[in-house]
Amino acid sequence: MNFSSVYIEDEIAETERVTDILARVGDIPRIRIERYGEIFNRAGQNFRLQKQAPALILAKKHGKKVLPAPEGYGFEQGSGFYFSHMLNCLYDCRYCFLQGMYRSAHYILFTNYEDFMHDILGQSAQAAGNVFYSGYDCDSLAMEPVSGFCNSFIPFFGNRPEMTLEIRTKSTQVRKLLEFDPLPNCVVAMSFTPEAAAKRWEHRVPAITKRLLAMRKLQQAGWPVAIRFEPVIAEPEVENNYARLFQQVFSTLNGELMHSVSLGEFRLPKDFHKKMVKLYPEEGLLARETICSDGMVSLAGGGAEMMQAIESRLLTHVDSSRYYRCA
Amino acid sequence: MLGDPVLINLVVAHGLEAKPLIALFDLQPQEDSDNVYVSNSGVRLIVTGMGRQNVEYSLAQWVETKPSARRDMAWLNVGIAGHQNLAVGDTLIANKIISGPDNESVFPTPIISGLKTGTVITVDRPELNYPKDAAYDMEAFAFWRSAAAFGPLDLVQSYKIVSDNPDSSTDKVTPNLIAELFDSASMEIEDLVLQLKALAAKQQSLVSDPPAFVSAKASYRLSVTQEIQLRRLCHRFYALQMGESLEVILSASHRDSRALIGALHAALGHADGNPGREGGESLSRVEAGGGQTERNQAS
Repeated sequence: MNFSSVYIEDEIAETERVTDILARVGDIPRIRIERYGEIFNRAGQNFRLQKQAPALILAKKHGKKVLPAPEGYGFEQGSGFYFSHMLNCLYDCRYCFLQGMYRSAHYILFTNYEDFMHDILGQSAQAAGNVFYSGYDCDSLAMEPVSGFCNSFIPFFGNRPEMTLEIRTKSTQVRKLLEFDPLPNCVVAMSFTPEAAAKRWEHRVPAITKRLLAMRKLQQAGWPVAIRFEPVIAEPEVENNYARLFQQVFSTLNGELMHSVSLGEFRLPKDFHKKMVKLYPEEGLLARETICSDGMVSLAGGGAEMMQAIESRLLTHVDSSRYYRCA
Repeated sequence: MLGDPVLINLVVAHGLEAKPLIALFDLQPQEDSDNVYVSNSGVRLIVTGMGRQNVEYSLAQWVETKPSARRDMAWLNVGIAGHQNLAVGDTLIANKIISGPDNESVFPTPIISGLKTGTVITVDRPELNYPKDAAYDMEAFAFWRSAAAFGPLDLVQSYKIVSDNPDSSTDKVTPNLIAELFDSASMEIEDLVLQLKALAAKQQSLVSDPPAFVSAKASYRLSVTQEIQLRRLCHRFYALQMGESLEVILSASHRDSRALIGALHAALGHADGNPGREGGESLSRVEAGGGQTERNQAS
């Protein structure tokens, strides 16, 4: 995990967590800042340029830390909320909305975990059975060796079985999770696209086989695991590609023990798509014919028929009670 | 002046700092200016005079004379500085620049590899006591503020060569020493300029007009909307590895620009395996924007 530099907000610079993190990032330039806004997402910054040498920003999250999850984001078990202790991702997936969301590719790590927990508790007090998603604006596990996210949040949710945590990731960093006893209320959800799509668009992401092995370790240890087949990208042979992927996934993992599986088509807010086209004008995926509906862009050639066909194939591997279609 | 071949603007305060760079990059004086030099290898040098006001004035004046200059050039401030701890001859690239008088900070993006980094404090008078572990200069803050308004923020950088420190005071900074310091740093400066030029060139290539668009633009009368559409369509053909199809369509005869754009859309629709689709949102806009234009000449 290489960062070009680490920026540290003055307010948190002397905290124990920041001291621990700095000990883990190695000998890189350390730069003190007042607020992360001095560095992150400033006008004139370029996501693509910064992605070549991203820095780590250690900051304190102010304001709302827990937000309602978008409609159809997760497996229905109660009200859904997400929290982002990080912004941006170590990986570089060409389809990812983060490229259109921020001008900056630096990674922000909000280190005031206890404040997140406080807000999670506050939200949970309002209704039982809430699901809290981590990994909406980042990959929750990819930076685990630096962030120590699991060390803080797994015990927290372990003591609160009435709440569910879903960790979304493409990372194979599961060693820390495996040190804990499995929690029935902590789901590790891994995203997959077929081999061809992964090779073409998921830069720096561990290979499918390695990710599946990580998931198998978790499942064998008793952790609830989930698979998110997202984003489904319309292309020739898409059904066959998914058929092969399903075969690979369900020959490695036990479908009957799986918490849930989902399918979600490639969709982006129109403004994000526009920004991504500007960033990567040479990218074929972003040059494809699109359809715009309700402010969301999707690929022509996809749609309900394709999703239905893939869904049918998926449901030959897993019971429909464990399946949902991501909106 | 989108044809401006310059990829990087070097900014120095003093003629003594300019001289070695003029030699290093084979720069020639620019016509109608006594403080700007250019090379045919994509480098421009602006000599601003010392202190923040001179930097601000010179760069503002330069922009005034180049109102349509492309905005995706790199900017590099090169100059000497004092330092509390670094030896004379050491170099650094600024990762934080503080305005001494008001303590305001800016943060150049850490996009350059292989160089020592550090804080630069810009002061209004030479700093003789070096109170902090930082480089002291008189221009970097004003340079960064000004240049960041003209170019991509990530490509605005400041590079300092240590000329004085507590063991070697400013009165030892002679023209000969400056020449020696620049000579010692020349390879590093060349490498830095190469890195920034490469980044700027990449940025410029991403926003440049595709050649096919340039030739089509010369052949058809286009509304502003159609020009935007045609440019994007050409980019899409290349991104989809359909450059040959684009050439074929452009070389065919089309009634007018609207017909040309319609043909390009249709080809892309088919390429996506959707002969029934016509480009969703975009085609309706094409048709709405067309109509009043006619082809300038037969192809």
